[in-house]
Amino acid sequence: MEQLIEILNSVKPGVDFKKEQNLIEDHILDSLTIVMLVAQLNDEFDIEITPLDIVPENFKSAEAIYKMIERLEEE
Amino acid sequence: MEEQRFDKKATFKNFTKIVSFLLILVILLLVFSYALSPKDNTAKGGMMNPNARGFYSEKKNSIDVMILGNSDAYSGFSPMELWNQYGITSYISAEGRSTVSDSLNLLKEALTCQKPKLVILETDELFFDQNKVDEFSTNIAASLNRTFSVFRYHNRWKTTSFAELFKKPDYTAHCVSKGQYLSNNVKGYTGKEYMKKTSKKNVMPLVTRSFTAKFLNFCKSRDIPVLLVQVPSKTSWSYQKHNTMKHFAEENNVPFLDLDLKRQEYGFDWKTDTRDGGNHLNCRGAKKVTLTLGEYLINNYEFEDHRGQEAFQSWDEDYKEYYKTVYSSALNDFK
Amino acid sequence: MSYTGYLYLFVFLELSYLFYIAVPLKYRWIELLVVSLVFYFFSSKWLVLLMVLCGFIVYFAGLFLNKINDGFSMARKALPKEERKDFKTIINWQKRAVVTVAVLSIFGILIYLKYYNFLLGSLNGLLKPLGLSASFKHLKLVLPLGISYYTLMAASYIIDVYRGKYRAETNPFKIILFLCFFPHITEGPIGRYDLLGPQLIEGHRASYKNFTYGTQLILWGLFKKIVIADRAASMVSTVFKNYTDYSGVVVLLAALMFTVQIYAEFSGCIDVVTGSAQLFGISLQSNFERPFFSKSINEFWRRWHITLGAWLRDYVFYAVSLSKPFMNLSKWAKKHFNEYYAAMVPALFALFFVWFGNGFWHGAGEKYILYGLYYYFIMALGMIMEPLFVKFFSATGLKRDSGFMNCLKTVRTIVLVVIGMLMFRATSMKAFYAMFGSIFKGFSFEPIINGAIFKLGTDAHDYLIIAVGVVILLIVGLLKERGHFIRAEVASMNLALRWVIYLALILSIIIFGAYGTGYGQVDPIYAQF
Repeated sequence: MEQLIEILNSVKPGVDFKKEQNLIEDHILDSLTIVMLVAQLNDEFDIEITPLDIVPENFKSAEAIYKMIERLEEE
Repeated sequence: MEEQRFDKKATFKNFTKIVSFLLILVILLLVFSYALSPKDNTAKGGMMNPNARGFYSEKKNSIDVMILGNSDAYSGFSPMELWNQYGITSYISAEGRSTVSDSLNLLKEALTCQKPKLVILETDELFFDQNKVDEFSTNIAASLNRTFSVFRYHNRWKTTSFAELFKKPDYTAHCVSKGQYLSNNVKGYTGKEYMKKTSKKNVMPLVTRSFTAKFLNFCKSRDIPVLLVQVPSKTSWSYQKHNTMKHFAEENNVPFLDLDLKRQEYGFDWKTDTRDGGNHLNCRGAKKVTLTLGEYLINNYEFEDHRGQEAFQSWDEDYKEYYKTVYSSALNDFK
Repeated sequence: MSYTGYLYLFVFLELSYLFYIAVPLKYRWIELLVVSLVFYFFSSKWLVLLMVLCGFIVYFAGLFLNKINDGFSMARKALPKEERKDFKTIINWQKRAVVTVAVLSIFGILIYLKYYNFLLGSLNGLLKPLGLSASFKHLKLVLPLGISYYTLMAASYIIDVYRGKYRAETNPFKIILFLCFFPHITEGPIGRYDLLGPQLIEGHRASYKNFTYGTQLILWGLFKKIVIADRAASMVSTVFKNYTDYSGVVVLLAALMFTVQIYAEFSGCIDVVTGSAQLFGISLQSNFERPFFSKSINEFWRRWHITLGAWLRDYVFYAVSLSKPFMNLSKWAKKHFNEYYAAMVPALFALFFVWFGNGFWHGAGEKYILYGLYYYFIMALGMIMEPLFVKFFSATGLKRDSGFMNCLKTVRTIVLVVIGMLMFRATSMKAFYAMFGSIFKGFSFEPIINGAIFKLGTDAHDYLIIAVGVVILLIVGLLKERGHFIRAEVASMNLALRWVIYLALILSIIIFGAYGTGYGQVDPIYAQF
């Protein structure tokens, strides 16, 4: 989780990702930042995030992203 | 059960609401139609095609022949020549790009003050080249314009004044040419002959066909005979259309006079008789067409010769003015 | 059939609606299909078959994918674990082949019809210097109604099925209805099958609420299109057509007027369309969210023509940027640049395809491609400079989110968009350069003072109406920005007030609308794409 927050902050500085629950709807993450994020996540966690995984539910909060990572790591 | 009855009640209530809303809307449209329609029948007063409605200012029941059609009609006939040569009183009630339903509407207007013994319908407007969608739209627009003139004259908010809004309209301005568009311009047509004999037929648009039938029925119900006439027009006429029209006329039992086909017989010359290269006629062309038409009229119908009658003195004066305008301009070489 | 014409508004819509509520709920979708096909046939005659063909292509491709998936899950269980992975790879290849063939064939039709002449023209241009005079003949190709829209919708359907978002539809006619549903066929919004399909198929009861909201939206859209956009059209076309005759403030005004025109028109038509669908109880995706309040170009394109942007995002941007080669590129970049730029590389490359696609979608011509790349350039620059901006603001202590800064950002965005619109409307790139340059050459307010701007087909009265219209748009926009749902609020006012508003809206459309004698019919700009 800490690692994730770090990555999030590198992509989008100045946001308290532990608190934000509506990253997509509040336009904190847009398609550009998401792709930047995915590039890092794929690399750091050795997973493969596909276009299908890119839905608001998976990216609305740090927690949701973390859950997605866990799920993908299992596959 | 209970709920359903309640539903029905709500539906009824909503239905009445919608109907009363529409009713208010209609009333407002009528009010605005009155307010924004032109207050006199001149171009300056905002009237579109003011010449088309000049029959209002003619003496009651003084017009014997009403001519209806589109721009081909107001360019192709000359009521003043008809008067001078045969003493027949006529009026051209035509608007550019008009449809048959527009013409029927104009005829109804004319009948409020005139009692023509013959109606001439220029046939070009029966072939107005449109696809079906546009044809429908044009007709819907025409009926809207007719019912609520605010659709036609809405743009007059730009020019009207508050005082003028509720002034009573006065549509009695006089039109010397009796509806004809006077032009002495010459821009000849020198291309090939386009009336090549064929047995092929053209398709008359469906909607137009039904409106034409309506037009004919209306005249029948008023006991006014109809004559279909085509004036020369290179851009709009063809032998195929001639065949179609002939067939249509026979089917509906109305006479059809194709003055385009008979051009040679009365000395029509495309080099000198058109003002825009073969679409519309100038005064010279209109004179030739009209004199031929006049001959046909006295041979086939009975019209009173009003020349010399006291009640028709104004027609002689109008002819003088028409003569001055047409014959004294730069192109006074034709007679 | 124009959505703002008499035939659609006074005949087609009413008849479709009455038939819809006259048919039993279960069959209502069939009624929608029939009237949509009639609508299509009215515009394109037998070219309707191309649309149907497109529907069948993705239908069969979908069925095929279903079959592969079913076969896979059955066979997988029977296999030993170590073979499963290989088997999955084979299956994935099969699926990819199916979706590729389907997508290529539907885009093939689009490209052939829309871009054939342009592509061959370019090819001719390339071959000429080489001494090869293989001049290809220009074909006179007629585009079927809405092909640019339904092709995208069909592609999104089949790609979603491929990605496993939902199972393929087993009834081809439901797909065809999704493609040709008459409100969205001409100008979008570009729908998605998972959102729209079920709504279309389900029969909706006539409801007073839908009727009210739908009619309100149609009227509002008509106001935008007929009163504002069509009135601005004549001045715009005069200046752009004879651009060499004008300069300075006149060109600037024309660019602004075109921006107003295209927004009022496109969003107005979309409102009519969305309102029409709402009458039937169907809600289309929103295509505009007050784009001129955007603080960045990126945000502008999230709020302008939303469904096109979303389509390109989901099926081009993510597909390209998340693909293996680009992810590897990112890894490589990580070794050579800092983290921020490394992560940015795939996005930067993928964005190129998005904007190229955006430009190309708008039309066959270098102008449109450069139009797309113009936005690409702005966005890429923004991304590359971002770390610098961050440093700048932290060094100077200026607040990046202050009201003043936000205002400045909005103005900057509008300026950039207006320049883009100038390019979009200019008759060629040459015209664009000339017009853009002429704004600064000899700029003076003389044409306003001596009244020259009132002689371009738009008189002082017209400008007044446009100005009032823009102010109304602005007020409505601000209210919506603050979270007001205006249609509901109007509907819940007391009867007298509500009716006064409705009647005023209807009468102002009829009286102040730019239609009838003296105004040419203005074909919607986005219907030609």
